[in-house]
Amino acid sequence: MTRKTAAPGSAAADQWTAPLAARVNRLAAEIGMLSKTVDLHTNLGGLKLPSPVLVASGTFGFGREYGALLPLSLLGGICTKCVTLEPRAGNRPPRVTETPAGMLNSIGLENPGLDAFLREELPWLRAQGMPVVVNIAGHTIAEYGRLASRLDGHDGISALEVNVSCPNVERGGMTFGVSPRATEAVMKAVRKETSLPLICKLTPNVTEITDLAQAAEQGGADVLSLINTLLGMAIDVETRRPVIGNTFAGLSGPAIRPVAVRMVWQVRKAVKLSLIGLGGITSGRDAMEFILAGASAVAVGSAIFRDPLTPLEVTAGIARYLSRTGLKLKEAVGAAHSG
Amino acid sequence: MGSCPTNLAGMTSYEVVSRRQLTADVAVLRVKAPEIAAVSRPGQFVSLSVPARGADPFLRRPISLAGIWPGAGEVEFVIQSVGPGTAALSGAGPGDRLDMLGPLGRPFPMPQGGKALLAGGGTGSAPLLALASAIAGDGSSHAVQARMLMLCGARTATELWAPGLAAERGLSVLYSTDDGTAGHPGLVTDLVQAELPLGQVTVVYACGPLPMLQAIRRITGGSGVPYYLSLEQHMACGVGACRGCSWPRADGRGYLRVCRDGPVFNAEEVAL
Repeated sequence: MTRKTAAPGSAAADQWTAPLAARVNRLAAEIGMLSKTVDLHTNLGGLKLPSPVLVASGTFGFGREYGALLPLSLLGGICTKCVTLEPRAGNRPPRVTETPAGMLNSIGLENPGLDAFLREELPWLRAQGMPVVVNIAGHTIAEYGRLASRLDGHDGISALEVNVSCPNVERGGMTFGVSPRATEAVMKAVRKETSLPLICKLTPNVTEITDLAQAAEQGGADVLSLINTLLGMAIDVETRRPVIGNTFAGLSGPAIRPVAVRMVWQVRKAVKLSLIGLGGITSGRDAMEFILAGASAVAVGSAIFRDPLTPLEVTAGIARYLSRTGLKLKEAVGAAHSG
Repeated sequence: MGSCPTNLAGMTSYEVVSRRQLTADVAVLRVKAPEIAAVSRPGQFVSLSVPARGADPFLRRPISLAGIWPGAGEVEFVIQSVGPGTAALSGAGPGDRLDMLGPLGRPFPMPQGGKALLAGGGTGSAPLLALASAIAGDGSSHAVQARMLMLCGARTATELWAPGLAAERGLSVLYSTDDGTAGHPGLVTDLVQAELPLGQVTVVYACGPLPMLQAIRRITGGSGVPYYLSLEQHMACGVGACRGCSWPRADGRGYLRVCRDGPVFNAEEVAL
């Protein structure tokens, strides 16, 4: 998708973001200060991140829009909007709606396609100075393999995150990620094509999350990220119709955090892989729940819509916690399981 | 870190300096926000929230700028309470603070001579008030009458807030009510239909409910007069990243983002 010329008025963005910049500077200074005594680096099965706080796929585009509001170099990394082989227009609106302590979304993987990503987004991302995790999605196992093969060898990609929450067109549209066999097959197809660290993003819409985690491990994943959104729905009682154009949609936000923490806890016990925990994180306290449950890193998602500086607030909050308790990040990972 | 379940810290908060109830569920808020007033243009919006005490309301609300005063460093919003989010926003009073992210989106293109027709339905009149003030800004009220005509519609007299607010700014408007309790009995688009054939109109701006915008298209579409629509859609990020606020393109080739490609569109760009 070709990038449009800047909106009229956006040239003046520096002026209205001045008060925001003061908050960014305060947070950056605090993170910098705490980093002298607290080591925020984290290592996930060979994927080394400068901080344990990523931004979640789908909530941050390819970084450009939010790059105008906060310094991306302070992020542990960006998980990009998902990339498919061909451009996708996405689902019919409405695509989002607010729910108690969260929101529903059904975007439909709208993205400019792999070629446009490589041509227009990756060079820009590479220049921003933070790890880039490219989220990929396919509709056949072969498509996943093809995406991995085309992304392998490009500078500036730290890892691939495999979105298995897509309909498998060869199996009547059943989501790959709800079947251990399909999940393993997807990961194997991707593993064969790249030496990049591989993250499998698990869907929570399954009976037994640990079965899927083990299947992804079998398939060659280095890291698991969990959870993707919970399938939900809202109805407009005045029009008596579903609110979302696509009827069903993914629930995110603080409402799902207890489910996500529980699943990280279970998966930590079931596999040896490093974990990225996400689902409703809004603060350092929230992030620590995931870390103590077994995640070596976390991702901030829809809370960014409420406050674009949430990833920095979360980073500062984690650093404060580690400073206050004297725990090393490595020691905190999974600490809730012991004793 | 406190013990509260969430910590959704504010963006940048600004103080409400005045609030007035305009109708049973519509209020006008004036906010001291010099950085935003300095750069905002009519048609743009600000993503608002009340500083959160918990996780609800979870999303910010996109609200059009109804007035922009760079000199005073103030902006104005007309907010209709339709749910918990807008209720919290429109309930804010003097001394309360609002988190503001903006201005966002593309503004109305300013008219290039000739006569501009501004048509607003319900709270859709809000961004048009900002536009009318801007058009009037560089001329006397006499000159204004020759260069623009603002038309406002509401369902009934008690919901008709725009003419009063316009009058305070020295702007006169023609208005209609669906039930005939004030002004022209009927739709605001009737007024557009009456005005357009007179031949002086060079541009039409409209904002309001979808059926009104569809009527604007029926009336204006074939006339050769360019027309611009300000659209409303469920929105999450407000900055173009999440692709949540999509609107179908007129040519059927995918979607535009209301927050970034709009909210003001050349009417020919969008499907209605």
